[in-house]
Amino acid sequence: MTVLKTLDGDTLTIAVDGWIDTLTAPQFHDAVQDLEGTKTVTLDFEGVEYISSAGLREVVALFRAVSAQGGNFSIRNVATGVRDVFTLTGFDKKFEIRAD
Amino acid sequence: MHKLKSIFVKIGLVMAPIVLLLDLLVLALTYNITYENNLEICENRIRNAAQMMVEYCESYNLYENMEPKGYSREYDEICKFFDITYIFVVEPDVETNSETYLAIGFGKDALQEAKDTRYPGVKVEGFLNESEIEAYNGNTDGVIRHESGWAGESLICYMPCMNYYRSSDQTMQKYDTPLIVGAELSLNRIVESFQQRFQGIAILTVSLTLLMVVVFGVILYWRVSRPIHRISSRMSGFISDRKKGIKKLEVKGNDEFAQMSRAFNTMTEEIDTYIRDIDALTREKHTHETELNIARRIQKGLLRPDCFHNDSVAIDAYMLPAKEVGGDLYDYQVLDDGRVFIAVADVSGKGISAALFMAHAVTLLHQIILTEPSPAEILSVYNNTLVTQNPGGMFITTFLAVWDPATGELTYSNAGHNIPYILADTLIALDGAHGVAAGLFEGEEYENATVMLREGDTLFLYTDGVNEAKNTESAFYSTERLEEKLTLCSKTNPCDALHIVLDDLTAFTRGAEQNDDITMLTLHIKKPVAETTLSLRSELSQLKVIKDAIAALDVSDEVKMSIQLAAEEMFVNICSYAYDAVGDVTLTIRPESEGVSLTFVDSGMPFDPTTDLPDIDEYDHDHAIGGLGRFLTFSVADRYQYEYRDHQNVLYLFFSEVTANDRFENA
Repeated sequence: MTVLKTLDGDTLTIAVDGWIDTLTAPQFHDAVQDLEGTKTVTLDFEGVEYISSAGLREVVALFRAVSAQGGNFSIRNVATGVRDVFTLTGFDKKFEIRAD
Repeated sequence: MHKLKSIFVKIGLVMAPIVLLLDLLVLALTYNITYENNLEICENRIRNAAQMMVEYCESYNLYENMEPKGYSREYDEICKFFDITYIFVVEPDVETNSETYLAIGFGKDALQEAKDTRYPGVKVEGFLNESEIEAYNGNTDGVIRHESGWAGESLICYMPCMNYYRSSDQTMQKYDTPLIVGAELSLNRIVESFQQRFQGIAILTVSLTLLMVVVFGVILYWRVSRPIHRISSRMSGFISDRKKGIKKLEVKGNDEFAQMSRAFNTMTEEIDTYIRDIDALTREKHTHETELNIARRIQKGLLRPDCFHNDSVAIDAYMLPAKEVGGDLYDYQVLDDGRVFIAVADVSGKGISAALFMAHAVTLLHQIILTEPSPAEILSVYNNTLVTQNPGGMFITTFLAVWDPATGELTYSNAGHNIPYILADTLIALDGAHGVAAGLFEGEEYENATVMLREGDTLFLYTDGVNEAKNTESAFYSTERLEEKLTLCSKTNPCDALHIVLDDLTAFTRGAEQNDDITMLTLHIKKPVAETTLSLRSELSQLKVIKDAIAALDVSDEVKMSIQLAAEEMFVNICSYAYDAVGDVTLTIRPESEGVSLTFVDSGMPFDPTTDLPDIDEYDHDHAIGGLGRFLTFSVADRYQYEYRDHQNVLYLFFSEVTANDRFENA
């Protein structure tokens, strides 16, 4: 799994590629720690084919951190299978999940 | 409570003006009538006075006896006698329309001005009115005139004096001109006193009316409004006051309110008794329901789990009693030599009696399966035992079968039960070895029949609650529809026949009341397939091995993702909790005809991951995060089963390819 961060002003785009599972979740965790000065955080899931509950926890933790400092959080380019995991657990009601 | 606006106040407010108006109307009418009467009396008075004056004129020569101004005592006496105002005699002169006074007397209310200006000898010009002329022309009855003049209102009677007067020589002499006698009554005084009296009467009447209204109002308030208020306040607080004990209404007298109070008291007592009865019934019903629920759990506990899988067979079972407890049963046992025993039975009747008999039968079956060699002999012993312990004369239809994996033969015997089916290339009805229902006749002999149950085939057993289920239009589900559905299943999805029939049955009976217990059981013989068994250590790094094995599966990516998700979550769960340190985990991945099954086996602490799943609708997304992995696993798995056996946690998960595709299409 790779994580690519692009900071444009106060907008941070985090592009993830690969699986976010029990083994890769810590890596994702480390990559999204420094959020200082960011207002809007967008996760680009174009390259994410799979997410497990470990990955889900990290995404939710990130969402909370962004919300805590009053920022906007959304996920885009979410494939159907990954989206299902968010829908099943009800997290799709907490933040915006877009297919494009 | 609303501010009470009494109906009596409302009625009173409407009635009072009406009563007063009526009062005034009656008074006005009375006034008119009595006034007219009064006038008539007055007319008679002045007529009599005039008559008397005419007679007087006939006795004297008025011309000779004209008295000077101020001396009219004689005539005054007449006024006084008749209580009139003026009495006079005039000599009219029709030519000049004037009259000359010959005599005049004054009553007590005569005006001074009249006394000053009218006296014998005075000639008044232009005063001759038409009434005087009429009298002058000979109307001896007296002409009554109602006059409003300078001296106020007055009533005058004019009468002619046609005859001669009696002279001193006793001969009747004639006056030069006919004279006119006038008797006048000033109405001012009369009207005034009449009005005064009448005013008194009017005031008295109106006051009395008002007083009556008030008295009536007070009586109504005390006798009607207050009792009504008392009863209504008791009524409105009936339920809340009931806890403090029922107070009866006081019954006073024998009027409508006493009657109403008595009726209310009776109603109170009856309602109270009724409520107590209902309370008692509710409590009883609740106890009854609780007991029935316990009975239901106990009954369910007597049956084997509704899902069983081993390497060679898959068994699915379903039982839904029409009431809390039922008279259907199913049973299965996998013997040590791999033989599979299955049975379905249906007790006559339903409810508690049927359930007790069922409990007896199922226990009996458990025991004798192991002791008797074949279904026919099992049924025989089963029947004989039931006959001797059946005071209620109940019976039980039973289908029994044993499948031998070594030969693939199914040996069965039927005690009056519905004909089961085998879903093979075609649908085969097992109509052999049909005997009498068990529990009725001692010494009944049963036969065995044999049929081949090959790999991939499914045996379908059911009770008549299935084919005799009714929909809202009272139509039966019917054996035809069941056979049709099973034929379809035999071609597409034989291992899932039970769920397909159940879905169809549920759709058919939706909204209708269930009148019989419904039971189904399927025995599916698995085709031998290449399975992968991974011997793993409970370490997260082993996830890669699992991932590779799942990636190699020949299923769609969507199903693969569900399997991967469940496998990861369950493996992580085992790694985290099963062992204090590190232990062994076996994962068997087995491609099945319609999907894939996973079986995790570990020797760690006993833990059933299928229980206490978080309810995602009430899940606290902002805080708690535990249980999500398990929730996801059992959301994506189509079937699952957990067992703790031989000191091992065994978790079976099944992923259907069909359902998975459906779910992702619907998502």
